[in-house]
Amino acid sequence: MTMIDVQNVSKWYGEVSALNDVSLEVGPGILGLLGPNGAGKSTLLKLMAGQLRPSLGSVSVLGREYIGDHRLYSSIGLCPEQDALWDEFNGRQFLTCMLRLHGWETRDAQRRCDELLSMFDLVGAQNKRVGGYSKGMRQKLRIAQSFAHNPKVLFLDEPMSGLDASSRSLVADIIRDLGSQGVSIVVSSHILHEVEMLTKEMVVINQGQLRARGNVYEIRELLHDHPLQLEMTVSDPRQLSKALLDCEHVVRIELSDDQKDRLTVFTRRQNQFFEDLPRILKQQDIEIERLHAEDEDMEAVFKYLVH
Amino acid sequence: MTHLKMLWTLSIITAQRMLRRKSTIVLTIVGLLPSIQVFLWVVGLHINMTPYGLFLQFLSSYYASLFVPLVAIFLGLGVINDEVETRNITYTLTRPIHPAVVAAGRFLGHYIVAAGVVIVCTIFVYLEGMIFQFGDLFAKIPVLIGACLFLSGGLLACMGVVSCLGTTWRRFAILGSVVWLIFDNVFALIPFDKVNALSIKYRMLASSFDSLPQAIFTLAPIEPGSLMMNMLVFLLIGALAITYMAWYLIQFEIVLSGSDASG
Repeated sequence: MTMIDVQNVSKWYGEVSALNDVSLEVGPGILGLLGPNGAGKSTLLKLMAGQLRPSLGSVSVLGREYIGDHRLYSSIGLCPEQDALWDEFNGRQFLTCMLRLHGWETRDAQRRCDELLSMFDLVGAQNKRVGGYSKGMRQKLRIAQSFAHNPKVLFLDEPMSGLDASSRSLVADIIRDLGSQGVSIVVSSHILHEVEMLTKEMVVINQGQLRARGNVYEIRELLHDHPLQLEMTVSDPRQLSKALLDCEHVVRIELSDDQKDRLTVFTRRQNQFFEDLPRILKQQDIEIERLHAEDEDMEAVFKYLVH
Repeated sequence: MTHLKMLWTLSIITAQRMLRRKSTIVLTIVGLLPSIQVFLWVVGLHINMTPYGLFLQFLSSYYASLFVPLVAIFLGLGVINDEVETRNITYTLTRPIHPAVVAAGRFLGHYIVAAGVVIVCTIFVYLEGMIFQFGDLFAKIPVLIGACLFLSGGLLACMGVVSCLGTTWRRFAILGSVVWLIFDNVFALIPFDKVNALSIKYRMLASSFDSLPQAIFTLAPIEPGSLMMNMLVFLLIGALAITYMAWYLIQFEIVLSGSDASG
């Protein structure tokens, strides 16, 4: 069942193209929207959430288009990326107001508010002004308001931003629970790990175009196929490079001209590399000072997918 | 019916937000400054006027000429502008509320607070004078009611103008408001009826039931008593402002950086 239907959508800001002929169908459950900064994922999310109008193409949610249909928002929730809240209110008042703007009666809103504050572990801070909340608490409040009114479709823009480990786990549980209840959830992020916590189904976007769609294992494969770049500072880089070149998974090695103790290794299988490296270091009696993965994030995969 | 209910809900929520801001408290204190002059009269410090005379003087030279435009600029500029700048507009535009209702609700919420501040300050200064010496109290009460009406009416018009300026020229809105204020005063001074009619200040002064002393030298005589006609004009300006802001929000798009684009 298609809940969000994006058909041949393009979006321009003046002469700058933010999205180019994007088509996407989303059903119930959680879909990750991955892409580096400036890829166009926020534009796509805002188009799907009705915050922007497409320059070309159409966006429909639950079979309806946004233009002139503000009532559609009663079935939609949005957690914006920007750190904006009504700082004049306390947490309870903010959530209650959000619900009242959905037409809820004050008593029902208060009851729902109790549930949400408890769910997000914000009961202790409910009477504190939102302006005095920590970044993590503000993020939890933003997520709470997005689905307070029980929407059928939910858009979350970088929902894990600013959350500590325990809050991430809590929020991930809540979002997964919503997804299992049949809510269609689109989560935008530029960090693979964050999306992995929530879903296996994801879309990769870069330079305004959809580059890949699949489950997390397929995306991970792409990551494995793409040579991982590791920068190392060792006592004898030349000896280490000779030893590493015997490994099948090492694609190439670059020695630094400026810093004689430094080398950069490109490997196709990082797990294998990290298994082999300690053995080689011990055999060759080489000391290592520093090991840094240059592109161990999605940025590398996005580049790989583009080129 | 739903629209009216949402309009009222949004207005009340907006008013509650405004009341929690320090700027509202500061404005109220500024509005109560004339009471100091009444106090000086009480202690006999060279104030050659009765408390009622002082009250009329305040209406003309302080509330109509200075305080109402000041409140309009401080509270009116943010009706749409503040929400866009802070990106809080997302929360109202992603509710099942028509953008026109959002514009009207935001404006009404700001206006409720602004009018409340102006009326409370005016009544406070009136009561202060009444306590000390007003003579025939009940004969003066219609003047107070008329004053509250024309000040709140003038405030509606001023906020309408200023909120439109804030919506259109966000960064230059304060400058634009000051320029408008100068023009409004100049139009009040020029001795031609048709030019005077363009001035909100002139219309406020001309709405009083009692003749007001001239705050600054003017060539234009101000005849009192046209309250109803001027109130209609004020309402019309407020309605036009809401229509403009509604049109703006209907076309509104939130762009990546959080700034906006229209059209």
